[in-house]
Amino acid sequence: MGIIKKLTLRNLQLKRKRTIVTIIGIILSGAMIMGVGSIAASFQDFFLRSAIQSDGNYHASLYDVAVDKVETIAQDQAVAAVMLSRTKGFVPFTAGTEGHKPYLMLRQYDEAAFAHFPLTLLEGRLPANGQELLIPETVQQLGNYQPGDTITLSVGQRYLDGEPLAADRDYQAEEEWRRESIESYTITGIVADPRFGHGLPGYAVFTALDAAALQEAEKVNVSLLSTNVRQIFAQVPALAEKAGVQNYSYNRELLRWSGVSDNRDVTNFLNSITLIIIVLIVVGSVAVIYNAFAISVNDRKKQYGMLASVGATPRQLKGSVFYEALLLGAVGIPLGIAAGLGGIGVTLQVVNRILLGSVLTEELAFRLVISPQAILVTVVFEALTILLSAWLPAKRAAQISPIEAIRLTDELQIKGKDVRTGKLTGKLLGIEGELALKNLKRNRKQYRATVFSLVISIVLFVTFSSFMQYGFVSRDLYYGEIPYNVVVYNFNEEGEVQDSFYRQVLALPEVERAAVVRTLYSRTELASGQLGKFVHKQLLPQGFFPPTPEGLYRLPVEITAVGEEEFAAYLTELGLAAADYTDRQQLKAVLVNKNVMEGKITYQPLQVTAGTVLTLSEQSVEAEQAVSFALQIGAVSDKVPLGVSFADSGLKLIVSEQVMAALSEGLSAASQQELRRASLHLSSQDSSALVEKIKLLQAAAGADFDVHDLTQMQAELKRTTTVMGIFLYGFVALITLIGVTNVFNTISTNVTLRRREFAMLQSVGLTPQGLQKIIRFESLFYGLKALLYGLPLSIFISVWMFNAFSQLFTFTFVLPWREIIICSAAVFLVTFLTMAQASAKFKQQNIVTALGAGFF
Amino acid sequence: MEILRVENLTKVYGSGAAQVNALAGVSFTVNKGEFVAIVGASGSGKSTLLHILGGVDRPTGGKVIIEGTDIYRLQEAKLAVFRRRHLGLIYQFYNLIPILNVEENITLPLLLDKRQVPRDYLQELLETLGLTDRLRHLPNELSGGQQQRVSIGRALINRPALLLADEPTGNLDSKNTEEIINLLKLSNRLYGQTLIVITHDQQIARQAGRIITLADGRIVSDEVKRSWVS
Repeated sequence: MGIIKKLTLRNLQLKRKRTIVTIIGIILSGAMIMGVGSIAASFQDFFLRSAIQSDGNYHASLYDVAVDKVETIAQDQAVAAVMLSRTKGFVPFTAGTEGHKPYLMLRQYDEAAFAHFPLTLLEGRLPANGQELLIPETVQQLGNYQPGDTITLSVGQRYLDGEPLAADRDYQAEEEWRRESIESYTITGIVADPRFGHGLPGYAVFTALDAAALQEAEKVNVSLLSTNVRQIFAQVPALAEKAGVQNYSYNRELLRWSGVSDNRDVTNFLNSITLIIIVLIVVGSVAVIYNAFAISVNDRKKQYGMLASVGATPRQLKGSVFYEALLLGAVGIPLGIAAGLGGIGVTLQVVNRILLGSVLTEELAFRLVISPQAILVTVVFEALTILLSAWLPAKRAAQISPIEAIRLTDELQIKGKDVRTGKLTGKLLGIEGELALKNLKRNRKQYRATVFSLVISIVLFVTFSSFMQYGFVSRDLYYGEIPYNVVVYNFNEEGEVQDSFYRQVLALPEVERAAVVRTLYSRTELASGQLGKFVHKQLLPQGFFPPTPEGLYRLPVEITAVGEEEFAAYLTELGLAAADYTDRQQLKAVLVNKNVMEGKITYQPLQVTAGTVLTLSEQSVEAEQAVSFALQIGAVSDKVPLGVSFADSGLKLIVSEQVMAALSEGLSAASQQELRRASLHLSSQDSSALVEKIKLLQAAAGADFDVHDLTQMQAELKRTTTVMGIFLYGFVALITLIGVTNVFNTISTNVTLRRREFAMLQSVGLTPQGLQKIIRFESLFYGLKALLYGLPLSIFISVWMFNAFSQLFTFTFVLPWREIIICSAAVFLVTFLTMAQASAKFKQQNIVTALGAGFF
Repeated sequence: MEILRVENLTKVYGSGAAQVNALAGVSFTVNKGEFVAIVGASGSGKSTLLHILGGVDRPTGGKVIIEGTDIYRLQEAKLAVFRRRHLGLIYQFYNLIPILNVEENITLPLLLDKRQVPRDYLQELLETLGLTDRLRHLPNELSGGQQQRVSIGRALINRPALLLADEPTGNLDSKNTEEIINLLKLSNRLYGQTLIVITHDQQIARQAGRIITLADGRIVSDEVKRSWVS
């Protein structure tokens, strides 16, 4: 090995601690880049599998293809696999409960279709031939079928005005069904209700399609998997033309997660974010690793000078630095990659455990995807980082003149004015403080590099924490404040059914508090002076509530009744007399004068007093036919009863059952119809038990209500937020660690180099305490300077981020105080500990030895 | 045969009020095989002169021509190579590389040049310098005298045109001083090595064949001894 290389290697071995710390810096940086790449790959893999599970494993579909063209498509080199399907016909299904779904939709799938389309087999097996049938859960329940049953179905087609209706047209009241045949089927299996069922006029049931038995004149839908999905948007139109059809569609979810999207925005956005993050990591890493090399070169200045005087060329000196980079990289990069993969692997396991059962299932969980591209990207970026970091130090090494070797001290370049400190400094801080300050001024470049690295860590830490807050806190608030945890909605059932069902639910022991909520949607016109400050300053300029020709502002108003019990409780809470609000002659309402926007911005929508009379009109009919009525504001409150949430931008009035009934009498039929529908808002200790019971009641009554367990949704949201938090804070922690590595390297070396100097000070009488003081001051100055630049910069970026994300109002911006404080404390702690640790070694040193040491 | 020519050398440090004229126009020539001593008081400019002669510090003005080459017209890289092959420098404070052993320190110029080490010559040198049993030692395991001998070895390994020594015995006791000076004279006699030695020690200066005296950056006297056989 050349002597230069030998020397470099030995130097690395000699300065073991610094070498290790630098390698750690490289590992951290490589791990983060690898981490970002792995996360991207793993997430993409997850969403891809998720899309396959929910939407099916195919790229596009061509509709109504003539049977003789199927082979042409299948043989095309762009096509990897084809799946055939079609709707054989419709079967009237009297057991169905949904008015708009009176049929069974008989679908035929070939083997490939069963394999690729999103059906989840729950019981039994797939149909093997055209006499076997697969039915979904709901059909099984409604018709009380079991696998093994044989059923006879009248299969026919739908017509409207004599013309055949397309299979996916929703149910038309005037349509006609004409029978074509009667078929017998044996049920072989049960599947979970398919996702694509909503909105279709019939429940899909499935039988096998025998492709060979198809007649030439018949048509079939051909779905396909492409051999090269990136060309899909060119391939499919070409195939359609070949097949002589004009109808085709794409499986967009799957395509998107395969990296193909005709919506450039999504792909670009994801790519940009990944790139930005990687660039951030590289910048942060270069700051650290550069410093490590700079220190190394500085340390070996005499040696380089020595070599130069004996005849080493600048190129050879440069080569020494790059060789050092090569060695450190060769060790650090593979370790970094391993650390990154390992770290993400573990993180994904943790995430899976947290989210299992809610968002994730056994089959569909995150898995670590080791993508060769990601590894390559990491190696490239990391090598780039190291190269960039070594560049300047290498240049500097090349410029070292042989004189360096001859000098006894290397401080000849200091100019007096550089290290001048004011008289005030000396008086305030004492000689120790002055020395500390002068020292920092003398080593300006190194000082700046350390401060820079600290600044980056500060900025990243604070801005990421802000991001967490803006991105997720608001949603937390949204679900967090609601006092009920189970909601039952009625969209389809008639009044009597609803009322009887609700009575049953309300009788359940699990129900602690309940509100039966009915809302009348109306509008009112208000004068400018009645609108609140916030409305004037923020909403009107944004285009809300454009004024009428008469100069009034039209606002939507929700008039809500919450059931007698709940309303009584509400009045008690507000200290109001029930009699005032149940009077059917003098109609009064409570105005909720508090709105909440975006989950976090609260304001008062109106400036009115109790006694004001509002003139309202219905919203559910055309303006000319809308009935107007008057409602007096009996009281103004900032509270809502159970079951009512704060309005976003309109108004909310709370009325009693009696008032609502009185109002309703005069309204149009449409509004009255609207008012018949109520929702139940329930509060319970055991929300899941309550939901179970409600579902049982529902099945028994054969009724159709929407039941939601908010506790569960809240828990899910919390889990998702936790997961996001893990990733973000993990990232921040790593970046911070890099910063810490840098600080450690710089300050520690700096202190060690000044052994002789400290010894000299000690020899003229500096006490150990005095030495401590100098060290404390230097840490303080490092920290202060870093915070001086870092905090304003972070705040600036936080504000910018706030604007970018919310696009709303800046005045409610809140500084991430907690993070700023944590950060500041950490900065001082790190700098101080590093210095203390480095100087601990020679606080007890033998002064003479230290003075004599280091002519080299 | 002229081996070194110095023409009107000047060296200025700093500027303005802090300006120092280390050399204020120095000119002389040296022939092959001469043993020259440069003497002068502290601050007279002798170290500066030696460094410039050794190609390790650029002059502000003037020329240094060694074996026909105007060394300061060379690019940095070429100058380094020239230094490696044609010059040998010895300093007061040994300036050995602490993590290289004796052999590596001595052969450093050759290793940088990626040339083969002439083992016979090396062996001869080691014997002459009395370092044969210290080959694998590191500098911190050697005494001051031994370290200086390693320096001399390194300076001589290339059989340079010029051997330049800056107070080579300044840090040694009298016994070692005598030994070092003898070694230098030996190389001068045995290998015809041209020597330029800076010293403030009159005794050493008297051993040389020619004494150049510097004061305030100028040559104030240039004496050649009739004979210098010690």
